[in-house]
Amino acid sequence: MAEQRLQVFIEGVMHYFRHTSDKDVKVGTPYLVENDAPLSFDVTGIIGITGACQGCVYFTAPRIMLRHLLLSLGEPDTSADNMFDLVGEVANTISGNARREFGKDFMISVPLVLEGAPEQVRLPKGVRSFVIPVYWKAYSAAMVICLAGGGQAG
Amino acid sequence: MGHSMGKYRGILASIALFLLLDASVLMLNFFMSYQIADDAVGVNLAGRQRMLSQRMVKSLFELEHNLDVGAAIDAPRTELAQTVTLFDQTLTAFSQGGASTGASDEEVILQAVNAEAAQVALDEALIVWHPYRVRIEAVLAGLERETFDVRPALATAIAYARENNVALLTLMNDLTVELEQVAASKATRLRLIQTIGISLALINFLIILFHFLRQLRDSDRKIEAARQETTEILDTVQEGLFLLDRDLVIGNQHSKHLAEILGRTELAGQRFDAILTSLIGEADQDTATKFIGLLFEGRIKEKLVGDLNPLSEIRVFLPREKGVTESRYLSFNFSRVKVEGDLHHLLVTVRDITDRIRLAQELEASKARGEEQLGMLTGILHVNPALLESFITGTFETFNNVNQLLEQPAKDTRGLRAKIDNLFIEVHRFKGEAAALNLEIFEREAQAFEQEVAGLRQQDNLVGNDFLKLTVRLDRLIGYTHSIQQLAGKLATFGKVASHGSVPALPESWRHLEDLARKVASRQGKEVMLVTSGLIEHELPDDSRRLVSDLCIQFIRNAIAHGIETPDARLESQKSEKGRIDIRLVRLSDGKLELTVTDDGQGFDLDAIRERALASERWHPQEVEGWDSKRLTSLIFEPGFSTKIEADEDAGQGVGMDVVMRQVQSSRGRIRLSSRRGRYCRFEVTLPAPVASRVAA
Amino acid sequence: MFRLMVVDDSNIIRRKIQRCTAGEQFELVGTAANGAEALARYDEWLPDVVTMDLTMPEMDGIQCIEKLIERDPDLRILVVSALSDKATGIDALQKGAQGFLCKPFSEEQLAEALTELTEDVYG
Repeated sequence: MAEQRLQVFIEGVMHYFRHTSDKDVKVGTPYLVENDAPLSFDVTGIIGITGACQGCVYFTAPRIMLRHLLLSLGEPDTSADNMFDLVGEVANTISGNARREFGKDFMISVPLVLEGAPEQVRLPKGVRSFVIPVYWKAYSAAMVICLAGGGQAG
Repeated sequence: MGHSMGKYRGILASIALFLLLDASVLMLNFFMSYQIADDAVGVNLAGRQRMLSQRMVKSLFELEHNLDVGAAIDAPRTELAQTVTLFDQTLTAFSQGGASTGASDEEVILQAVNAEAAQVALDEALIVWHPYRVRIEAVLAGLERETFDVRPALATAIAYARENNVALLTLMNDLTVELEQVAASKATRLRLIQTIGISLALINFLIILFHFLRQLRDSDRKIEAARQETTEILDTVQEGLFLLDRDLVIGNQHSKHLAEILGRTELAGQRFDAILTSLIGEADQDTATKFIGLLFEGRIKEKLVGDLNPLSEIRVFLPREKGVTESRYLSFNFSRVKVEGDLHHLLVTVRDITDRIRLAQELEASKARGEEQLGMLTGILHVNPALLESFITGTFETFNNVNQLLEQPAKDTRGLRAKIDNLFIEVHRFKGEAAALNLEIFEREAQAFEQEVAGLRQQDNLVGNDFLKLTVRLDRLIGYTHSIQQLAGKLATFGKVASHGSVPALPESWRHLEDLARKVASRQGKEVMLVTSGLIEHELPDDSRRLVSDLCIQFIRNAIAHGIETPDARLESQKSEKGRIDIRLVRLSDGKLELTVTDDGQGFDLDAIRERALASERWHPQEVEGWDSKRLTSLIFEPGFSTKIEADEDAGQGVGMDVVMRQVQSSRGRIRLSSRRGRYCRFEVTLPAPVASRVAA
Repeated sequence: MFRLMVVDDSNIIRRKIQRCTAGEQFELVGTAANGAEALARYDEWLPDVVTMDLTMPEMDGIQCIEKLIERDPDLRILVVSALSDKATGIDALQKGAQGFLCKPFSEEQLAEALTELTEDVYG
């Protein structure tokens, strides 16, 4: 069950990148991080989840990758605003996918985009997050999933 | 039938009345027509009397004239005679009833006239007629005689005629008129009766029509209402409802929900057994069909076979879109439907009981989890606390290693494959430790983990995503370990109160090897005795001790799985039933450690190894054929190589000896192997001297 | 009064059925521990009603039902067996039994089942 849920989020990311002109996106082997030291790159888009499961899912990527991604999408304006929009879009795709798959038991918030790591208060303490590395061209980004109650077994 | 008769009683009575009315009008009509016909005859004859009276006068005058001129008198005489007879006959018939002669000489029966005015006219006519007739008859009688002179008689008759003819004519006219009136009034009455009868019949017909139509409309409305109700019931009821006939054909109507429950829309008129086959497969369908057949057999007691219903709780696979099937649990209930004692249908009720079953399963699972936790608790109770602590520390290290392995970016399949091999080694070693400490929960989890890894190893196109299940397992294992750690912490506080100071040192810390040997042996159906020397005597630093322990674990596993024979086989080869594993640890003069593990089993089966090597297709067959025993035995250290066909918890994953080799190599040690077919197998490991400073106090 | 024969390899079950049928309606004419014994004693006991276990040594219930029905097609047979294999129970009914009672059963359940089994027979 936990695995299937995670899979839904992974599909969300893949889904987004499949829409870009460059389809060469890969998911790395998932691993765990302690929530005390959350993983993040420069820009992070967070979706909060409440309901049957509590926690959050976020997509985080370095600026350099976002810039390249914008260019490859045919967007010459690589300002910070556009980068934020881009990350927001990825997060939106992820949340849309999740909403469709999980139904109304999962309350999924509108994405919030910020710089750096999500505030630690957003991450449940004492549990681990799943990191799904996302490789695009030579860059690494990641999706981090932290779900307590149902998401994590134990 | 009595009931349905009642429904039509009104309409039948109405129709009978209608027929009765029609019949009576018809009969009356018939009767009256006869009467009117009779009256018409009467009127005709009465009219003829007028004519006859005139003719009589005319005949009398003609007779007188002929006599005067001497002409023939035959014609007037005959006519007179006939006329008199006819007049008299008719008059008498009118008066008293009787026969007369009609217009065409047929006999006519007349009824006595009973209309009063007519009677009066008749009576008067009779009074006038009698003398008239007497005189005419005198004339006629006179004419019979040749010589007789009739003139006086004729004169008398003519005189009487002159005097009374008009009166007689008038009287006959009165009779005619009177009779005509009677006939006319009868005709009027008949018309009236006909009109009334026809009107009544018409009214009756209209009543019938109205009543019948209303009944028809009423019953139509009732049928429509009933149909509407049925439809409403079938549309709203949460169960699947339908009728099934002897040929297993589904009835024309079924509840709306049925389509949803069975995951298909075209159901009416379909074969139920065919639908069942697609839902539950051929074999179960067959049993179900037999059961349904029994319900159609009158001798079977319906109440006494409910328990046998094979569909009372059945798992089905429902077709969903895009060829995907979904597993649900359904409950079919069959009840006989009898109409007037005859059994034609079964009413089938279908409910989706998936939620109920899932709930029960969840309860079961949570119960199992509870038991598992209890097992975990009892599992760790027997483990020496110090050993447990060291195990837990080691476990977190392992998890860390595993997580780091996962985290390392591997961008191609080769990288991923290497990752899998390394993961396997980590997990396999962990499993051995857990088994040695009798921590079954960990052992099982590790076994499952290992199998997942083995599964990935078989997979052709590896992608990062395939590792997700491993990460999820790792997460769960970490969770487990945390709870064990907490439990151990709590136990430790009890332990401090209960235990008497220092932990009874070394024997305890090696006992897990004996446990392991016993457990693996019992799993493999073998008997084994473990003999150790030197383990207790030499105090070793923690890392060396863990290494020696790890090696011993793998060697014991390997010895029991591959070396030691079953008791029967041992007896056959004149060995004692119980196999023996000797573990000897010595410290060499240069400080190096030498670990020797010997089992008195069947030794290496070089043929089996060669066969396996050929089967693995890793090497060219000719190359394998050329290998000597040394090269062959070295194969057991190849990753992924095992002679055991069926993988189980103890062997066959093709990992074990390669872990040993890797560990020995990473500690800069050496490993030697000797074996004699049917006698023994010995591993000799030489490890560099432990670093003195790290020796435990 | 119906003549009742109990066929079951378990002595406990035999005694239990014996206990709950000790009424006015049934007369226990004999008990058999397997199908072969039931057939051997059939002519002597001539039962109207039989309770039949399915899994027994020597001759199982299915065969026994088949042979008993050959001798008396009107014989009332109640299968008394565990529910582990519904298909076998269904086979037993196809061979001629009229009802099935699932083990374990209560005394009331057995009494009800036997009454139901014989309700349309004048005894």
